[in-house]
Formats: sequence, C-alpha cells, structure tokens
Amino acid sequence: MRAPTGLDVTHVPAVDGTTAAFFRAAGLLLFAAVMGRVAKVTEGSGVSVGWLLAAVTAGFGLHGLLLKTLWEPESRLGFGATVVILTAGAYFAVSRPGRGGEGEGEAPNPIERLGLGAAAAGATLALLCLAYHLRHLGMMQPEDDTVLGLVFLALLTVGAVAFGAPLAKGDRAPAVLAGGLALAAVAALAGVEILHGLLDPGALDAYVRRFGLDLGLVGTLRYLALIGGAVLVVPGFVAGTALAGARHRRRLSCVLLGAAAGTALWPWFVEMRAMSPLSYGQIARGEAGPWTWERVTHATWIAAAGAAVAAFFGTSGRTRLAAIGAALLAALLVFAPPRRGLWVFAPWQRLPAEPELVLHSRHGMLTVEPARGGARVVTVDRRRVTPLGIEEDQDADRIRFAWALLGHDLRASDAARVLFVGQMTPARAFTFDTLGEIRLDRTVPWHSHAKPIDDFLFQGQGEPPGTLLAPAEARRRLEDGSYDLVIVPPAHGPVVLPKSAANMPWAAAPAPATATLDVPDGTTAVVWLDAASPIANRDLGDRAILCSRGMDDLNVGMVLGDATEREKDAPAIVDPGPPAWRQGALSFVRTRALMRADRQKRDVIARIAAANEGGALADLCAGLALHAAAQRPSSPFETPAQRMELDDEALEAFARAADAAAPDAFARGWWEGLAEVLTGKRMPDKVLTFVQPVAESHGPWPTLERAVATAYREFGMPSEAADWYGRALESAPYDIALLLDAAEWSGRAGDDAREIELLRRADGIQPDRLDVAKRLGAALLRAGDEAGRAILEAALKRHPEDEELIELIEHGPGAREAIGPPVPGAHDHDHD
Amino acid sequence: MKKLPALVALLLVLFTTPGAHARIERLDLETMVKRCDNAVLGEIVARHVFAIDEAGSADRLYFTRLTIEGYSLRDRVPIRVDVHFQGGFIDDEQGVYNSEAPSADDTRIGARAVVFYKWMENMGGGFSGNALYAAHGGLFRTVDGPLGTVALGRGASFAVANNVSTASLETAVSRIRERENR
Repeated sequence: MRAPTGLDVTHVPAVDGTTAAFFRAAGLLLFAAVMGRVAKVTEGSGVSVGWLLAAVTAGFGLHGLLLKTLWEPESRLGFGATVVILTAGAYFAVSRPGRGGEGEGEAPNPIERLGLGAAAAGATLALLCLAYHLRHLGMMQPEDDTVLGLVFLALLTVGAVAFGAPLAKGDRAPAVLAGGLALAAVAALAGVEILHGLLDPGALDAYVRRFGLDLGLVGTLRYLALIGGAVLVVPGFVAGTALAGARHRRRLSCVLLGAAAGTALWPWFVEMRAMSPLSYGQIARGEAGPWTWERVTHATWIAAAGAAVAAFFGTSGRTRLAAIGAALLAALLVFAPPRRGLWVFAPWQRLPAEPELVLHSRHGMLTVEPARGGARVVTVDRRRVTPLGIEEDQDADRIRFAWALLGHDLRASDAARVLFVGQMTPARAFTFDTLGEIRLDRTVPWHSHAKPIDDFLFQGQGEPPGTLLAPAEARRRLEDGSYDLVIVPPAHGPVVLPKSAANMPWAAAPAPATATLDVPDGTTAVVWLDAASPIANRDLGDRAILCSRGMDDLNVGMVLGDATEREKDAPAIVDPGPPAWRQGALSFVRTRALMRADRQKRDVIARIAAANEGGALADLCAGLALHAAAQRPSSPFETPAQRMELDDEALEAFARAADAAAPDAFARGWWEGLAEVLTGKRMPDKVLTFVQPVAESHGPWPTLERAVATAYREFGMPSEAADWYGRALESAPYDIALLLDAAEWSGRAGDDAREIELLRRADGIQPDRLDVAKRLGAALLRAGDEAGRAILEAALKRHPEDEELIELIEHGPGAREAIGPPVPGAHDHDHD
Repeated sequence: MKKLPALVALLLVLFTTPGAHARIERLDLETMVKRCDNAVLGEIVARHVFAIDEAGSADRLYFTRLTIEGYSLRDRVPIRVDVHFQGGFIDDEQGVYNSEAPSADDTRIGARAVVFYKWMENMGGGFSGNALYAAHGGLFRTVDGPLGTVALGRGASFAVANNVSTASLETAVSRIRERENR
C-alpha cells in the first residue's frame, strides 16, 4: 500500500518518509493476517508459496494497472477501510481446506520464529535500499512503482517455482527459508552493481537500445520492466527461492511480519548515521562514501544473524549446517563486491544534473541543483518542489491570487496569518514581502531536513521569512483556527528527456489525494495543482481558481474554506466540476512521459468547461478546453510561440468572454500570453482581429497595446504603429525599449518632432546610452538641427571605434532602411 | 625563368577557373528567382507526410508534401503544384523533425504563402519532385491586412528580407524575369 500525497494539507507536496513507511508496512501486516487465516484453514496442508506468489502478482497487477481508477483510497480512513474490507473478504472467502499438496512440516518454535522475523526484516531492508535507488531511474509516478513491484513479484514467483520448489522439499524447507533470506539480502548488492553500471548516460542508452527502446521511454511500461528486471533479477530469484521454504503457516507469517517490521524501520535505517549534505563535486571525487554498500551490509548482517538463529533452533543435521553456512556466506560476501554509493540524478538527461546539495533521507533523496535559466531548484525524490526561473512570475501570481481571496480589510490590517506549505525560496520570500505585514508560518513534509536546504538557498540573503514548523505542529495550529490563509504550491515530476537541448521539460507530479482536504471555518486555503498532473478524476471541491504562465502551464487552485467572492483584484472562481474519468493506469504507463501532459490537461480542462457551461465563465472555460484539445507535439526547433497550437474557435470564445466582462486577474495573464504568442507566430491579422478590440475595451493595457503596434508594423502602417506605441507608453513611460520603438515609428510616420521628443525622454532616463545617442543625433540631423552633430560627436569621444557613428558624422543619416521582421524566427541564421 | 611560364599558367588557372575559390552567396530575390523553376502564390490545400526506405540502409527518409493552389509568379497562370521538403511525422511515433523545415504555422492547411521551388531528380532515396528551395527560406507566409496582402520577410540574407506587399513582390519577380528573358 502506497501513501499518496495529499493525505492532509501539509502532505500535498510530498509524503513524509515515516508515514510512507507505515503505510507500506500496513499492507504487509494485512497480508500476514490473511496468510495466517489461509494457513489455518489449510492446516496440515503446506502453503504452496509459488501459487500464492502467482496469485499476489496477478492481483497486484490487476489492481495497479487495470482497476486502480475504480478504487483508489485517498485518506487514512479510506486505507483503513480497505484493510478491513480486504481482510474480512479474505477470511470469508477462504472457507475450505486445500486438497493434497506437500505437508507443512513441524511448526517453528518461538526462537526460530524470532530468527526468521529478523532474517526477513534484514532482507527487506536490503531490498528497500536497492529499490530506493532503482525508483530514481523512473518518473516517480505511482504507476512506476506498480510496474517495478510487479516485476519483483514475478521474479519472486519464478524463483519460488523454478528453484525453490525442488530445493525446499521435505525437511529442507526451513533451512532453505532461513539461509535463503540471508542470501537474498546480500543478493541486493548484485542489483547495486547492475544499477551502478547503468548510471553512465551512455550505458543506459546503449542498454535500452539493445532491446529496441530509447531513453524517451523512461517511465513507461517496457522501460521499467526492462530496467527492473535487470536490477532485480538476482535478488528476486534468490528471495523467491527462499520463500518456497515457507510452507508452514507460522513461518510464512513470521516472514511477512519481519518484512513489515523492516519496512516500518526503513526511515530510521536509512538515517542510521547522520549524513552531512554533499555536493556533486564531492561525489564525483569519491568523497561521498559507500552509502549504499553500508546499508545493504548492515541489513545483510541482520538477516544473517536472524537466519543463523532460525537455522540453529529450527533445523538439524546437515540442513542446519547448510543453512548456517549460507548465513555465514552472506555475512562475508558483502566484502566481495566494490563498495558503492549510488547517486541517481536522471542519467537520461543530455546535460547531467550536478546538484550543489544532496542528502539521502527518509523522505527520499533531497537535492538543490541548478536548472535552466540559472535558478536553483529543490527536488524531493527527484520531484521538483520549487519553480524554475521562467516560472517565478507565475509562482508569484499563485501566491497573490490566493492572497486576493481574503477580504480587503483583512489584507490591509497587517495582521493576516498565513501558512505556506512548501519550500521557501528567495523569490517566494520577495513575493511574500510585497504582501505587506503578515504573520507567516511555513512547513514542509521533509521538515527534519529543511534547515540545510533553507541555509543553502538563502546563503548571503539572511534568514528565510516565516517560522518553520513541523507538519504535526502546523496541522495542530491549522485545526485550532490559527490561520486566515493556507497556500500550497504545486509540485512537479522529474526532468524528461527532451527532443532538443533548447527545451527541457519536466514531467508532472503524481496527482495528490484531494477528497479529504479540508480546513476549519474562518480559514481559506488554496491548494495549487498542475493541470498536467492526472487530476481529472480527483475531487477538486466546488470552487477553484486558475493561474497560468501566459497560455501555458495551467494550474488549478482548489479553494477550501472561506473565500471572498470577487473583489476587484481577485481571480474569478470557477466550478471545477465532479470527478471525471482519467486515463487508465495501463494506458498512462504506456504513454511516453513527454506526451502525457497534453492528455491530462485536456481531461481536466474539459471537465471544468463542462461544469461551467451556461455560466458567467462559460466562454472562457470553453476556450480553454478548445485550446487544450488543439495542442499537438511540436518540433523542438520551433520557438515557444510557434510550438503553441491556436484554435480559431478558442480565440473566438476568448473574445466573447472579454466582450462580456472585464478580464479577471487570470484572464489578463492569459490575454497577455495570447498577444505574445500571436506576435511570436507573426500573425498580425489575428492580433488586429482578437487583441485590438480587447486592448481598446479594457485599456490601458501596455502588453496588448504593444502587440497591436507590432502588428501594424508588420503591415507597414507606421502611423497606426506609432499611435499604439504611444498608448502603451502612457502606462509605461520609463520603458526605454518602448520609447525607442515609439520614436522609430513616429519618425517613419513622418512625425519628426514626436520622434525627437521621445528620444530625448529616453536619453533623460538613461543618459549617454550609445544607441539612444545615435538615434537622437540622426533624428535631429534629419530635421535639419545641427545639435544632432554635437550629440554624435560627444558619443564618438566615448566610443571612438564605432563605425556607425563615424558614418553618421561624415555622411549624415541617409534614408531610413527597411526594418526586418520584429520577431526573430527559429531559424536565426544566414542562408547560403 | 623557366619556371615563369608554369607559374603564370598556374595563376591563370587559379584565377579564371570557376569554382577555384570558395564562394558564399547571399540568397536575394533575384538569385532565388533565377535558380528556381517557379514561385507560386496561393493557399496550402493539402499536406501529406510519407516515408521512403533508402536502399542499402535501415533508415527511412520522411518527406512532407504541400499541395498549393494559386498562381505562378512567373507568368500569372493559375496552378496547383506539389512542393516537398524533408521531415515530418506520419503519426506520433514515425517521423523526424528537420531543423531547416518551415514551421507548422507556415505549412498548415489553409495557410497562404509564396513558395519557391525547383525540380530535383533526387531529394534523397531516389525520390524526385518539386523541392522547396532553400528549405524554410523558400516559403514566405502571407497575411491579409488593412492595406492588402503582405508577404512576411524573414530578415537579411533571405530572398524576401522585409515584409512586402504581394503586389510589389509580383512586380519585382516580373521585372527579374523580364531581365532574364532579354
């Protein structure tokens, strides 16, 4: 059983390691209880472990890949109910003893049972260590875990049937079980070796290509089955062979209980020795130490000790010697292979990640690493929990949109109490600072390791704002009604292999559980979810707000608790609609990671559009749905604007929405994105058709006015271009680039006086700027004013090598040359 | 002295033989018109991607065919012509992106453009047909504006560097053809 994110508001970005471990252990405990019942009813007949494992594999696969969308618990209560129902079902379903089969042998004595439990715990810890690293080779989705789990169960089954059944006959069974568990633990090191060999980017690529795959398939069914099979085959077969010896009900129960104990102990085991944060440089220089080998070794010694005890007290004669020998062999074999520490940083990336800070923890591997654009990002088990540089504006909008849902009086009171559930960054700190005086608390699920990350992100910038709380304390304060506002930013998945190094996409995060998210009266919460995550089948409540980065990266903000209805600067509230069907798990895991986002966005936005049909936001939502449905895979060689598909029906819907009512905060950002895309696509006709009316109705709006001016430039209409640049300038009088454009096109329209006036303004804002001096000097000379020559000569003294200045002084400005396209194309190079 | 005639001969060969020097030529409108078989101003009415298996190789070559209906800039005659360029996707999995291909916006069905093309006996894999000249540099999308239809220039060193009305472009092409025919 896997704990989903979103069990409560403080666990939306991630699940803390302890909770995750207890959930997994609970699943094994359930299994142990069911097996106890099964074995009781079949008393006298041995448990056929091979058949049992085959049934478990089939059931695991059936639910995980086919039936998951029908039953997927989203709360602690839901999981508890699942445990109760399945246990009760198994009890009632198993009503007749089995027929025939080999006898189960003598019951284990208490000391043997203890030994077997310890051996199983040790083997489990060793295998968990291997799984910890193996998962980082995927996309960290629940479906990834399902496929890898399925592969492991299948290997256990094959091991039990092919090797274990012939070996574990008669009185050899207890010895095979005990010795085999110890050997299964050390066999994890074989998996470590294979995994280590795959970490070089060339090696992973070469390996998957041998089987007709490519690294674009990371996180898909075939890739996971291949990689999982390669890494888990040795420990899987050995563990399966061992399990074949668990024919007695009590031995099987002990093994399962031991596995549950090992699973529950994992958080403390992984942190058994405090780890100082490392950098990639230290790892590359071999200063990191054999973290993985250490843990597998300790786990193997636990398993070997338990196995020796179980063998000594549970077997006799030669079988005892063999079992103890196997345990001893396992304990010594740990010294044979190289002592590795594994660090899996998305080896499919073209530009390998080189984190500046790395920590292994109970919550997963934590990193701070540089991302494209220079910003540092934080990842938790390879899932990104902070924005990229290009996303920081949108991230600020998410915070401001949530803030705007509070009443104006409260916002202006300097006493608003806010809880931020997410990683604080310098950019986020700046945004919170702009909100005024607030009482800010913050929490993260990885709270136990938050300080080194905070210190690293804020080095040289003072303390991060707000009081850092443990999740439990934050929940207590929340339940006490201590907060007016709770903000939860979205998480993202690992980086995906891009089609081109020019564009580095990140996968979406798994959909958090949302059904039981709640806040007390008097508190407003906004839980932001990435529309590219598979959230279409999630309960998103009855209110939501939207946020985007231009026309891209749509986020849905679940609104919980109180929320003021539409103050002027608040985003419009939409009805998110009831849960809809989402792409099934099998279909999802068969889809390339790069192709998943568009499908998920279509599903959730279609749901929102359906829910808002006939309402005040019908046109806007319908347009969003049409826009999402129009998106297709695009060439990586196109510009971002060119890669965006536009649908005329969608544009008409947006236009109707803007005609009916002033765009809200979200829609304004969307329109600015649309203006930017149409300009980037060089569709001036559509700018005049769709953007100009909105700019006229809802101005001043400099971004849109600028786009309209650019459109008139494309059509060679300088007067109109100058007029619209002038409108934009009224709202942005200190924008020098805008001043220069307005001046240029005023001049081209024949208004020399206006051109000179605007250039003088630019010069006043940033004196002695070379390009301004050239243009001003040329404009004055064109107008017959010799003051232009003095300006050019003064500039030449500062830049004596500038040939253009020399040319202007010697020959005057000459006729205006045609200006090239206003927007550089994707193919920005000369042709021969 | 005996070597002088040889030296002179060598120099003559070097400086008079075409192609003796490496040349980089800018592709302006006149050069483009002279090198191409034709240019069509019209609407893209069909778009089809297909693959050719290259003999002796496991690779497939993908081509996009644009069917353009309009009229010839050379002689104002209505024409319907197929023009090809390398790259394209048959479905989500089969195909190849070409960094020199025109963008999806420029080649979508319904787009209007000026397209320069030249017959090639072998565009690859033995495939012959009208080839888009200079890849994306041979296609210039047109847009309808308040003052008429404009062909969008692609910048310096392209055949259509700046935005220009299609009427002016037709006139320019006609003049180039007239000079050619004199």
